[in-house]
Amino acid sequence: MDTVIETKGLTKRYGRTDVYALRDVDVRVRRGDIFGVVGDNGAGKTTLFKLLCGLAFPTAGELRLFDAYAPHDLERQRARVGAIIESPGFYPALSVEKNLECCRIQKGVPGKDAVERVLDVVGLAYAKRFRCRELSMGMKQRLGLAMALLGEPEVLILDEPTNGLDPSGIVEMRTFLQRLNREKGITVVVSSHHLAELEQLATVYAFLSRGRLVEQVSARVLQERCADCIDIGVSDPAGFTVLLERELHHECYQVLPDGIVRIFDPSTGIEAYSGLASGAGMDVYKLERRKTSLEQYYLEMKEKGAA
Amino acid sequence: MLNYMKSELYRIAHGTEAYLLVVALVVVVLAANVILYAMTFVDPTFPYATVRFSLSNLLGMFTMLFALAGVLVALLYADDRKNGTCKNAIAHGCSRTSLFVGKCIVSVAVGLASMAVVLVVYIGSAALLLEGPVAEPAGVLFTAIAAGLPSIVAAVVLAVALEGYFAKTATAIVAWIVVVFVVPQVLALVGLRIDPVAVFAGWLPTNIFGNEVNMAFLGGDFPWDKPFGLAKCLIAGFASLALFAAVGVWRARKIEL
Repeated sequence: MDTVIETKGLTKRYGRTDVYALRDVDVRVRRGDIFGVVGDNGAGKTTLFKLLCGLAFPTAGELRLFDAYAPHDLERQRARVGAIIESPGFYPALSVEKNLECCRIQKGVPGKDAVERVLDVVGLAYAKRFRCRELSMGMKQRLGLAMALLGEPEVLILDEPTNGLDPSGIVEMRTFLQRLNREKGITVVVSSHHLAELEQLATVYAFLSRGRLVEQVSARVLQERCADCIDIGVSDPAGFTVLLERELHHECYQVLPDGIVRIFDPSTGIEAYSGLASGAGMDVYKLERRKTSLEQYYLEMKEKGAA
Repeated sequence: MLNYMKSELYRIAHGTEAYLLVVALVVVVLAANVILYAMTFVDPTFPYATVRFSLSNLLGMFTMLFALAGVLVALLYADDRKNGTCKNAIAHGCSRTSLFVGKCIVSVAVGLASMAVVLVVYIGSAALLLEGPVAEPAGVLFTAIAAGLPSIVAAVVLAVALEGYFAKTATAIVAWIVVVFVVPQVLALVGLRIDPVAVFAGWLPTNIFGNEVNMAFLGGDFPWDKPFGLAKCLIAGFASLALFAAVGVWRARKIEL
């Protein structure tokens, strides 16, 4: 798979302060990815998207879009990208159809039927004569998406596209993005506060914390990391870990600050671990099988980033 | 840039702002001529129901054309940044310079088209309703407009530059008024005491088309009646245009949205 977006040491500092909105961020988005950007408010998600779309200028670092990196080339390549940054932009007094027509002319998309097509795709054909100021939040998001989709972009950059959507709207948006990715091969770069939402959508994750990229990881690897684990509380955690390595040849564990031993990817049943401890004369006061959610993983990543 | 300009023209043609401005101006100029005409019924000796008097009103308020240039841009691009439409254009690959230049060209084109309509109604209604020759006063008016056109375009370019620079349209309008009207007036007043300032203030378009034209009404020639005066009008206009365009492009390239 070829790379469509790549950043190296991308840094953004607003004004002359020492506060960095983004610092030394290296990300790589491959064609066909659904690239989920995860982070708290102020983590740098929107800043990253603004830099990708040319709305802000990097303080340092390099940005490549379809292998172009010179400012003028980047501008040309942006015609291959559709984006919604912060909130969809449109003329409130014009109708949905006329806003899309403006956008079509601006993008140089041939054929007036392109507007009808995207209206059908986003399910807004019934509202084409509505003035934009009369639209609900969900309809505005759909209109923004329709604008981004005009001209059949190869990459969609969507900054929290599910903001303000009701639960059914969120499901619709997710299904829609998955369909675009699957059927049209559109690469999607999306940020969201709804981690559970991203969990069902993204194929690659980038965790941002305080302007730094903590980790970029594929959904497959993340799934492995979020796999089952067993928390076992014993009277002698150090002795238990020795036993764990010697008897069960299991080295994938972590001793938590409260003395609980967390065993990742347990290879045998839960009873084998408790049996190991009690067989060595240790008291077992806690035994729990658990699964790490994306939320938990994210919080751990955040702590790692803060450290 | 061509695509951006075409999309802006489409938007303006399907919006109401430009039409509202033209209709409002047409109503004003028609009403002015109708009132002058009606006065002849009230007072048969009323001396001002002439084409010359009617058209000289615009000359007396020539700087109003500068103000209208600002109003036009404010109407066309009000809340452009707030609505996020600039963001769209840049995200779609339009350069900031193209955006600025495109807006300037579109504003000037719409402004000229609007002015043509209003002038046709203004001169036409005066010719129909009022007495006296038309060609000579209309010629004076057209000469004045030709002399002032670079300055009017400069006012449009400045308005576009400020509208793009300030996030709020209201702030841009205030800044525009300060640059176009307040600063020249202040410099003219300071110039009453300090000669070099008076010389500089005398080259500012608002002072040429405001103060000097008003002086002409008191007795004398209009600035554009003599070659030096006409050259001064054009130089002041083109110099302002070049300055505002350069500053506008420079600032536009730095704006982050």
